[in-house]
Amino acid sequence: MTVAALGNKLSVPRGFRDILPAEARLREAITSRVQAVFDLWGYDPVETPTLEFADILKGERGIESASFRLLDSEGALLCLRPDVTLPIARLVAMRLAPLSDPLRLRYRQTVFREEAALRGQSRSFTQLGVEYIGESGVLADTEVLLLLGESLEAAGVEGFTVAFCDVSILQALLSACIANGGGTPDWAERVLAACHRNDFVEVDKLAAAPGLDKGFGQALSVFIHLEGGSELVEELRGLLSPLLAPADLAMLNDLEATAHMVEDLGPHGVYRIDSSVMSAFSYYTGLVAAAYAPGVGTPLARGGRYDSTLAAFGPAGPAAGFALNLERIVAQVMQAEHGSAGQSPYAWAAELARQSEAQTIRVGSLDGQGADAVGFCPGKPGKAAAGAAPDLAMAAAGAAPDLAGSIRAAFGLASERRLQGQRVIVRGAANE
Amino acid sequence: MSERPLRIALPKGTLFAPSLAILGRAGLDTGGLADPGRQLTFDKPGLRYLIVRPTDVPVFVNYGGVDCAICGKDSLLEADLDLVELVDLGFGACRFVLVEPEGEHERIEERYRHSGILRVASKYPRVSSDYLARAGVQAELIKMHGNIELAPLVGMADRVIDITATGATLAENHLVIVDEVLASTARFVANPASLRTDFRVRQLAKRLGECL
Repeated sequence: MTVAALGNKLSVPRGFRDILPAEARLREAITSRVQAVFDLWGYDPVETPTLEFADILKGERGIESASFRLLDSEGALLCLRPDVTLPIARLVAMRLAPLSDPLRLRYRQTVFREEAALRGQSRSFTQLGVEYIGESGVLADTEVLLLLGESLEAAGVEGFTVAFCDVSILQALLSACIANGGGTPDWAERVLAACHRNDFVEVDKLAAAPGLDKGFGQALSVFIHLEGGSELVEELRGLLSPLLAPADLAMLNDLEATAHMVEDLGPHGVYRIDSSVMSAFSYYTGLVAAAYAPGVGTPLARGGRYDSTLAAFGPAGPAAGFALNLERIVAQVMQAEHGSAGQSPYAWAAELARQSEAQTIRVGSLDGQGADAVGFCPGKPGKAAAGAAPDLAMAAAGAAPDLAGSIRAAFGLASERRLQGQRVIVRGAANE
Repeated sequence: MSERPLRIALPKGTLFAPSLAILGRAGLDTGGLADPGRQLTFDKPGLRYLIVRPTDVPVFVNYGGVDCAICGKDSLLEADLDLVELVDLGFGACRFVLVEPEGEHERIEERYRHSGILRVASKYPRVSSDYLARAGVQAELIKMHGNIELAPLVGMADRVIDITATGATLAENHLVIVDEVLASTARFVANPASLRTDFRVRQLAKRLGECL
């Protein structure tokens, strides 16, 4: 056969590629470790169709224009899923609503997005993600953030940072600027657009706009550059309390509690409050988070709280989640200056598998309405519903003797936090 | 993390000297860079400088080839890549302008009324098409790489969108400004991951802000 006769037979569309055995092994190893962590926290797997009706994306700015669309033989306009959160929101509304208990769902799915040519960007990538549906508040946000960090650790990513903030702070500040500070809705839109583009020079300029009250402008300018640990919230409170109504300051208490929790329970130095991560806010309503690691310029994971998304499909309800980008994680792990350097993907995959076998006990999220507690233990599938939280070990003993032993061991070594009466989150490892 | 040098890209050309000056004021060692010859990288304790073409600066930053850089807003707009813009350094002021040959205004307007389309040449297709769309002008864009003032002189294009600092080149070529497109200055920019995983980037941004 001549080259001409082959046509496009020996090529693939731009932004798509084959994955050869060495990389496929590594992807498999990372996926199984991350899924094990999700599983440990009680997340059940779901799968959604590759094709959806294009209507599912209606009104979702950004995502809608980035999707691949096609007509089927009946003339229906379909799209290749560009995102998993919206299909899961649809699934929940169609098949699982109304919810009596919070839902924890996990997935591993390929998503497809149009990208401009000549930017070296892939048009399909694999997302490993979770959605925690039907719960909001400090504990739910903490769970999502801790799980994000733990899954990146499990994937073998080193030196990563989880930057997080709460979009409602910016929204409240902009509303206050409009109400009392001489800002206009058009001005606020421009501030949001500049934040979205990561153009903080423009935000500073808009904060100094004539007609805008100086106090409000300065607060906006300081706020947008803030980055730090939980102690930052005190600074935020000082900055915003003269400008916002007391009711609007309540979210700072939640942010502070969440920040304390993730700092205490998560890996050291990983979690940072960072007001510059608030892009894609049209979707998010509260918590927003992005994980970065050296060497990969784009986030390894993104997520947040989208309490108004479910309402577009069915009964309203709070929801939060995140997705890890498998391709970027593989890229980071293979180039990072640590154990994997110089190793073949095969060797690194084997190392990850070896680490999985080491017995780790973590008592994951303890949830429910106050009195219930649930422990999760790897290698011992299933959840043990326990009784009153303060006596977790004893209660769990009644449910599953093996698990109880593990939990007791974990208690001996774990740090423990008590919040809101009987709700507890414990994190620890028996072999640490 | 801190064992790795902080990698900074600097643009060749008119922004180069003022970039060195402000980095020096911010306390960075820039010795030997003023006269780099053909050398493209310079290593100092804890620092690595890369000297690159101005239009390539955003690419180096976006793909993580460097942690941070000094870059003209013009190049940032044209590249339209995901990076974080932190400080307006104030120098390197220039403007994007829409220009046409002296005395040709009526003829061009007349042609647009009848033929319904203008031809506009530019080195900056993204900035230009954004502007033309905003201005509601139907135009064909011709992408060029240099000496763009020639295009209207030989009738290849009706108008040109180009950058000017003083207007001297425009005047020499008998071109006059029809409209201001936008203004540009040098910016300190960072890779999104470096900003969040390497405290030295924020530190440098802060010091540069104080040097203005």
